[in-house]
Amino acid sequence: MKFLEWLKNGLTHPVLGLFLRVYVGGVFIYASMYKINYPTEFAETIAAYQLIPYWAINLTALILPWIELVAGVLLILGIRTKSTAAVIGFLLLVFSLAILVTMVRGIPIGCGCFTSVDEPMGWRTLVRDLMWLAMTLQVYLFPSALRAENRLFKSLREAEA
Amino acid sequence: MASPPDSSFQDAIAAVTRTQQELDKRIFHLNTLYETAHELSGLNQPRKMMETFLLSAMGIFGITEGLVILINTRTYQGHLFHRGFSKEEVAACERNLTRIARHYLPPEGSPIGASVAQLVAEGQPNGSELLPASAELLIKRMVDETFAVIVVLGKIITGSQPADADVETLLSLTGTLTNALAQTLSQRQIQNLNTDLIRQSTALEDARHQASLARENLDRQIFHLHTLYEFTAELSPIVSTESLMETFLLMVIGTLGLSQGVVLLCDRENRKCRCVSRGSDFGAESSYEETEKRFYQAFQCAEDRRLDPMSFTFVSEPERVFPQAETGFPVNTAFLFTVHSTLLGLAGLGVPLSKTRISDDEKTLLRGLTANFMVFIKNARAFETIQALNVDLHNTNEDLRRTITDLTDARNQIRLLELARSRLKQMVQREIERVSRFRVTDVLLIIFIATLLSLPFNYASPNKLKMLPESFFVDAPASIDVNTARQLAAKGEAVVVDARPAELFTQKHIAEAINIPASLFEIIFPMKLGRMLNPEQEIIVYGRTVSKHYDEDVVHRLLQRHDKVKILEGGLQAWERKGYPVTP
Repeated sequence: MKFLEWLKNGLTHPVLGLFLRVYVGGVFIYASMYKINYPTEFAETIAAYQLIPYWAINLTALILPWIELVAGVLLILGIRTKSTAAVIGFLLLVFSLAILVTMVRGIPIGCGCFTSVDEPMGWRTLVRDLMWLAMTLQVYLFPSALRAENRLFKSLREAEA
Repeated sequence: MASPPDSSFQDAIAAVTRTQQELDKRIFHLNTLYETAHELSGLNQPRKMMETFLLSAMGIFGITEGLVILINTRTYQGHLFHRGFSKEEVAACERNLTRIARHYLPPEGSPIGASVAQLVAEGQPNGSELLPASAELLIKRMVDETFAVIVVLGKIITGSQPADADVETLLSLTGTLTNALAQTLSQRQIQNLNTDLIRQSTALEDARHQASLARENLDRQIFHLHTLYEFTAELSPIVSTESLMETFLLMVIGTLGLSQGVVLLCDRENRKCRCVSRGSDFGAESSYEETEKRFYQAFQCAEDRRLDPMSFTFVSEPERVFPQAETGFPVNTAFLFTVHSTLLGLAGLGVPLSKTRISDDEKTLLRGLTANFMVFIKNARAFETIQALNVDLHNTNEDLRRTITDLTDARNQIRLLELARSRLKQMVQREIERVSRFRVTDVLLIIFIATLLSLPFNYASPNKLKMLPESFFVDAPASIDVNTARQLAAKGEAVVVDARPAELFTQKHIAEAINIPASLFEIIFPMKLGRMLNPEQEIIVYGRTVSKHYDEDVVHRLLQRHDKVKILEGGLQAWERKGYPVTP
């Protein structure tokens, strides 16, 4: 019982939230960097999944990395944390599903998660994504420390008082 | 013929003689009566009449004592005239007049003029001696309704009793006296009446004169009152002090018939003086100090040196207070008036047109006019004070209204600010709630920002990527159906190229196909196809997924090097469906 409470306290601790935010946000920023610089390769990667119609491939390859970057930055800073966490969670879910579908379909491609010449996708890739998803869920559900919007609210409340 | 004297004859002669004697006596009496009457008619004084009567009566009958009383039956006062009686007896009679009258005189209402004679001895009341002891006969007669005559006679010298004829004569004589007395009394009465009439007439004349004087006085009073009334009526609508002074001066000048005058008013509280003049331009430029000095001089010369409120006094030496050199006209009358201790007035009047001095009546009128004027001045001052207070009040009200407006504005502003504050609070609260909630807007915002950043970055990037795939813009290349392709390939007239990435090629491909992925075209094409390609050979390209038309990309590249390039209709799926060989 005490352990469960300790676990609960540990899992919902704001510092953990902060850590997870920084970690997941960092992963997303890092992931977006190569994709932003080499959109053509990323387009190839997306196309390899065979899930998006061919006319939408380039647009997706152009915009998706930027979404990752913006969401990552916002998550680290703690701005609109809930919405950002939702966006990141949604992307992770989509990625996980894509990986799952591709694995089921048996298409022999790399994951393309960070660079176009990643290791080929496998269960590890899926588990990793699901872990990130769980972390994002923690960030979404529980408050975390050092959020920029917290500072803003604090100053607003002070001004109001 | 001679006849012997007989006794009867003798008697007859004696009787004749007696008769003759009687007749003579009667004639004598009648003569006396006539004379007395004649004598009495010439007299007009009762005393003389009584004297004449008594002497005649006593003379005729040889009586030595006689008394005549003329008595007023109402007042019991009378005049006595006597002969022969002692003074004491007469004095006693005089004392007892009332009793005598009551005793002897007939009661009221007896006929006037009826003489009654009676013997004293018969009529004397018991035990009293009203009349002298020697009185023998009493005759009483009413002269008129008021006066009566009582004649008391003493003994006849001869000692005989008076004969009836004698008494009758006496009564006649008394009648003559009373007639004469009545006449005299009437005359007296007429005279008295006349005198009264004259006196009354004189009194009437006096009264008329008095009335005329009173009327004149009244007329003057009415004139004065009328003047005062008019003055009051004229002053009543005026509220300014200057106009009041002007009207007052005009009224005084008009009423007294003057041609010049001046009125000064000195307000010691506010150290202000006002001057109004007629017939000269005096005082137009005099200062307060000069005016005060003049007031001081006037006070020195005042008949009554007091400063009671609403008081009025004449100045005894007007020419000292108002020298002709200053006023420009000789000041004949000056007066000082005090409205209240700090408001004094001084007036100087010129010489009246008709006379040299104004009368006492006019002075009284002047007092009245001035008193009225002072009342109005006082009212005017009160009105001015009220007006000043009103102005103050108005200003205060204006200030108050402005303050209220300011306050209202401030209140509105505060309300607005509070509203803004509450709105801001709500907004902040909403914002806090919004931020701590998931919102689709935020998601859209992130996407929007990402799009906004990505497009310019891509545009500027050396590794630019087109928004849509190239094959989207170019015409679809020529195609070839699966059967024809199979035949051409079997005859060696066509080369089949798999355009997909190597991983997919490895997974499954057409048996004799060569793998040339679009991304590695420039490297692999010369290696795998360049040298062995016959210009007559057809190149048949296949390989597309839902996400990418690899075949089209490769066809476009091949067409730059070779003419006969076609796309396999239906791709790998159509080939497989026909049962043509695939590897593995």
